Amino acid sequence: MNNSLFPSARTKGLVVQEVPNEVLVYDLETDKAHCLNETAAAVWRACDGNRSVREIADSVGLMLGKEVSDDLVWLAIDQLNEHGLLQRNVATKFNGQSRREALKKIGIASMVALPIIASLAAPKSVMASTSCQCTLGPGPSGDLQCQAQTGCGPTCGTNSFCQ
Amino acid sequence: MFADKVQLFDASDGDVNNISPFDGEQLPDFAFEAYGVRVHLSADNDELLEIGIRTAKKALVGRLKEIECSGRDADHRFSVHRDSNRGYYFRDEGEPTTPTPDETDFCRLLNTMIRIQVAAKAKRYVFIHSGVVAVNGRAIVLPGDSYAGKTRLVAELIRRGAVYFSDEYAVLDEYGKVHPFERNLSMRRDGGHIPYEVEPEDLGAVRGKIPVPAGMLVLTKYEPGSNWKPEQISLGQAILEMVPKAIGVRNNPEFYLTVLNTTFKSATILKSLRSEAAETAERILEAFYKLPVSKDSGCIF
Repeated sequence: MNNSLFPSARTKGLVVQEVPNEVLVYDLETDKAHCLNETAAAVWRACDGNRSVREIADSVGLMLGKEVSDDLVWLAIDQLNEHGLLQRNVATKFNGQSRREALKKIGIASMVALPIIASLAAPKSVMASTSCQCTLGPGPSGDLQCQAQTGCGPTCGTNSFCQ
Repeated sequence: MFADKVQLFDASDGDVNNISPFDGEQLPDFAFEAYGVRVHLSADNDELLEIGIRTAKKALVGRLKEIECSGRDADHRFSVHRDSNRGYYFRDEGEPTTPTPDETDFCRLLNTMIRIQVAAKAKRYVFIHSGVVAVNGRAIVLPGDSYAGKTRLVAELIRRGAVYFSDEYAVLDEYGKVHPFERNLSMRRDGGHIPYEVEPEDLGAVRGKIPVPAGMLVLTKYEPGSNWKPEQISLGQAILEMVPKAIGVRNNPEFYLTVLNTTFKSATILKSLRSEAAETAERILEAFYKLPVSKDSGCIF
């Protein structure tokens, strides 16, 4: 059995939070948070390592109460791959199409919402949250502190403020 | 109130670093607990310790209590120093800051770092970089980065009668209540980087005193010339957008996600670009007053 054709959702190193119609996943290895819409979450849950893409499509179709195509599942798997939410990467099959082209084609034909996974990184350090202050003073280290802060000047001044 | 021995801790691994220039000295010290975080503060002398204590009290809006705790047992350590040639500086977990001759600049920096380190290590509380006001016993939470215009928007809201909670942090508890962190507003002049303080009372506001449920979450960003066109977004998307503004999320992501879910599951969530703060404040309040009245609402100050 080629395991790559039986995708398996990653379970280790993740914090999962259910919210209405979505699933939030925090990756402890990358410190990134992901928000999976209902379709992406349903595909992710169905990836148990024993189901083929066709079987995942059937399972998700049952969960969502609508017919789901293999292409839609591949689209979800492509994103799950990209965000590191599968145990191992699965080679996606868009037959040479870009994801954008596939999206367009699947979107028109699909009865269910397209799978979407949005991601954002947690603050790198507490310094990312300061109010444009730089404890390390003028110089390269202080400048780096400033550049890590959104909306602040790039250079650490003698008064310990990013300017 | 004296430290037997000042021990510096390597922030990277928490090990004791024995290169302290103060090794073996008896230094005045003070320990406090705030939001479940035990902080040890020591100083070269009593005068500097007083500056440190005063700054800590201000940084945490008085929400600290003195405890018995050695530097070794604390969750975080600061030490306050003055170099006769270069001026004031402090060590944050052993890492020295750049000295400054200006006491005001020094206190401002120490204030910021105490606040941030406590927020990052807080137990049973979640700190989100955010402005917060309350109306009719429910909080309006306005997450935003530094320089995103949080304080200006908060100022305009409290000028219109909202109760002041914070221009810096939304402090959330495990039950989904939003707590006041009612420090003075930190305003900046146009294009300026150095803040000045404004008391909310000077803007006609009162400070919130007790925690309230969240009524509205507004994800907005200043963009000149943009129009206020709010769209409702999902709870999952909103929580995702708050993650980069969540000070200590890396320390306890499960708790953070749970608390954010609990806090905002019943709140109205709006997202829009905005232009001027005054007009945006009007629009936010208009939207807020259209919300159904919650049974949780009550007196909040």
